[in-house]
Amino acid sequence: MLTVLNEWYTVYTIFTIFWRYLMKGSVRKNVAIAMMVLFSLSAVYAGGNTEKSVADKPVDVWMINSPVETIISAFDAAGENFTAETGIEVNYVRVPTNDFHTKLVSSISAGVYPDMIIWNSSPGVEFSQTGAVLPVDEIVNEIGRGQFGEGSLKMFTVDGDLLEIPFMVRPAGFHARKDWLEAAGYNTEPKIDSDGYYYYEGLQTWEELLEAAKKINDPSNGKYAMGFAYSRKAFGDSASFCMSILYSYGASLLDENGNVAIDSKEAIEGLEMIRKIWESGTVPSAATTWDGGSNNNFFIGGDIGMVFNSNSIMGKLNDTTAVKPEDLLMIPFPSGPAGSFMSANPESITIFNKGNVEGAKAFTKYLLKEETQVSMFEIMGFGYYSPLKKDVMENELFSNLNQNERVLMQDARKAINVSFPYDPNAKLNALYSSFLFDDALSRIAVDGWNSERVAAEMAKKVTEVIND
Amino acid sequence: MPILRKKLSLEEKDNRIGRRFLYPAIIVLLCIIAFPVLYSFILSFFRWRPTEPGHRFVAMKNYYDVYRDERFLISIFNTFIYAFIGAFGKIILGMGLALLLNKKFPGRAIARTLLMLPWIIPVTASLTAWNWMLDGMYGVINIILSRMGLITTYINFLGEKGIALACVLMVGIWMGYPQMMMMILAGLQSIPGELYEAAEVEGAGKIRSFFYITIPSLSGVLKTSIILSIIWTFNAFNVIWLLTRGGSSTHIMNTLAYEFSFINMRYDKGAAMSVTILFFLAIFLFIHTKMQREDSLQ
Repeated sequence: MLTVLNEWYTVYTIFTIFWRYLMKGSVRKNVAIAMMVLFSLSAVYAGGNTEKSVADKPVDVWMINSPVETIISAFDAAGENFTAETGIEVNYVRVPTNDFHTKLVSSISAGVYPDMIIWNSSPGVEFSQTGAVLPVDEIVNEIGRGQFGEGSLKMFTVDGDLLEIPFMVRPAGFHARKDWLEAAGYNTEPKIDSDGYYYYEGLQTWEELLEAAKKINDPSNGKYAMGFAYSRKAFGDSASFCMSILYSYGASLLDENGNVAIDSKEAIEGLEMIRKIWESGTVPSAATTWDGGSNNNFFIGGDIGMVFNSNSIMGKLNDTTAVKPEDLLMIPFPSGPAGSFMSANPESITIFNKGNVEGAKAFTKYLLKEETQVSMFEIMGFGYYSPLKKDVMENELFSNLNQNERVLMQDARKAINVSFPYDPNAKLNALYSSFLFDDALSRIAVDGWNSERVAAEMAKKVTEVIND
Repeated sequence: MPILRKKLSLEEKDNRIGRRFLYPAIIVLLCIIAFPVLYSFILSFFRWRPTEPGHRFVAMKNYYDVYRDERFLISIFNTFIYAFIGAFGKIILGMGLALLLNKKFPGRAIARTLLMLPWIIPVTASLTAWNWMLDGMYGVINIILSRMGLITTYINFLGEKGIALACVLMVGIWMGYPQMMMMILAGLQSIPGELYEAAEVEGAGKIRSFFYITIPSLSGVLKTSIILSIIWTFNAFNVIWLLTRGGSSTHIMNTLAYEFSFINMRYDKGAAMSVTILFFLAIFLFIHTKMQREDSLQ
């Protein structure tokens, strides 16, 4: 309420300045007439809207504009089936990945919200303080909390309110050229560890991976081993690469007391690993200017041996691409001294408490049904998305996964967000989108800073945001 | 007592009707220009974040924070480099090509069309092309330089500090010179040919004619072109945002203000930067207006 009053007060102040000091009598009269016409039109328009029932209004759903056609078809089919069942139209607004955050922030600032969004960057947590996000505990309790991992629910809980529902996960995977690794003497037959998970000998840790990269690197022929973006233009890819290594080395943004900890010994060791990868010459120097699609394109084009990316590659490989589907080997995400962690938020559903709330709730429940998700996976196949809900994961559809798909599915458990290992924090979430990690990579690759200096700058940025 | 209305002349009536036709446009301009500018100005004195409820008056704190930020200071430096070198680059290139197009030669119409292309091609399309041409791995510029034997290892044009700023500057000049070229060409075509003929009779060579006839005759056009070019270049955003996202130390004030506002979601600090940009632009506009007034008096 205070916010609204405050905004109206600002508008009123500006208008008064114009009215009193800048407008003459005759101008005032004409402005007044024009404004009355505008207000009348707005009132007629707004009045018409409020009388619509839930079924008359479409549910506006924002989501990433997927590069994979089958994903679009799967969501379209789910929307059409929901409309046929309930009479409520679903209107998808597909936004390019790089523009999603900006568009969302602008919309929320302007008070024009979508009804719901499906995204993997925790918007519910990020906007938790604004009061714009609808708590969704009721929906999850109705479905059964046991259907979701407690960890993934905790990721979206702020001050006791669940603000997002884990929907599916886009398993970020470590894609490698099977033929190149085999030529370098690596065994690409999977071993199984004591927990039943696949792994490959000599390709388990970041250090081992760097050694393998050196063996397959062939820059004189335009072939590079590693395709990691060290660029702020690759928003998301570079941030998740940097964050994953740092956290695998035991770094975190804050410690258990809430103090800034990104300049810790562990963080510096992680940055040192990133620097070693850069200096090994296994990453092309052009990676400092790559955008979000470069690593995918160069991998598919056959010029890069390993990339870490959300899995849009698997769906794009075919007999006409330079790299054939049989040349792809998904490697379990490498580990550091503290374990193996991947920066990969689950794709979640966030509902806003303004607009067609009931329609958005109904569509959310529909999307979370086992049969809806199974039919979506039948259309889009496995790989780009992986299930998160227990009943869907146990569905027989997922009992016959191939070697690469199994690795992708098992890696989903390694997903962490930026607040890890502590509770989600809206300010830290914003830091992830603010080039904190991307700029750290640029400092190493472009400016040649040492790890201590990079860590100190990161700590300064985190401190600024936390204390701001 | 009856109200006496002043009888208006026909001209006054016409003016009044004319003014009424202008009101809708004035209202629209107030809404889309004056209101956002004033709103940003007010916003810069508040703590105003889209992720937080309410707004708090913080007086000059946003300005204090922004002026202490090293990134902003670098961006001011870059902005001036980008605006001044960019503007003069466009003028010099535009002038050279305008002089060429002012001569009669076979294929002049085709040359004029080709030289206008950078201005005609959609910005995103040309920047995507430049992005690829300057690519450090497959860029055609690297390939050409390498085949000519000028380089042995590929240059990461957009990823190296210093080189990146020079590259975005070059692309900015390339995109902006046609406008300058057209303005100067129009100026050249308005110079009476008799002046050159008289100079030739008096024994003046081409260089003397250029400095004593062409440049003085173009001084009005050149002054306006330089100031306008500085203002436009000062306001540039697309080239840097699409080529480097402000990486490799190429941020100018506009791109940094955008980053603060819409990426870091600090509308307040972004607004403080925008007001500072407005201050600089107001100085250039003042100079421009003053020069125009002096020209009209002359």
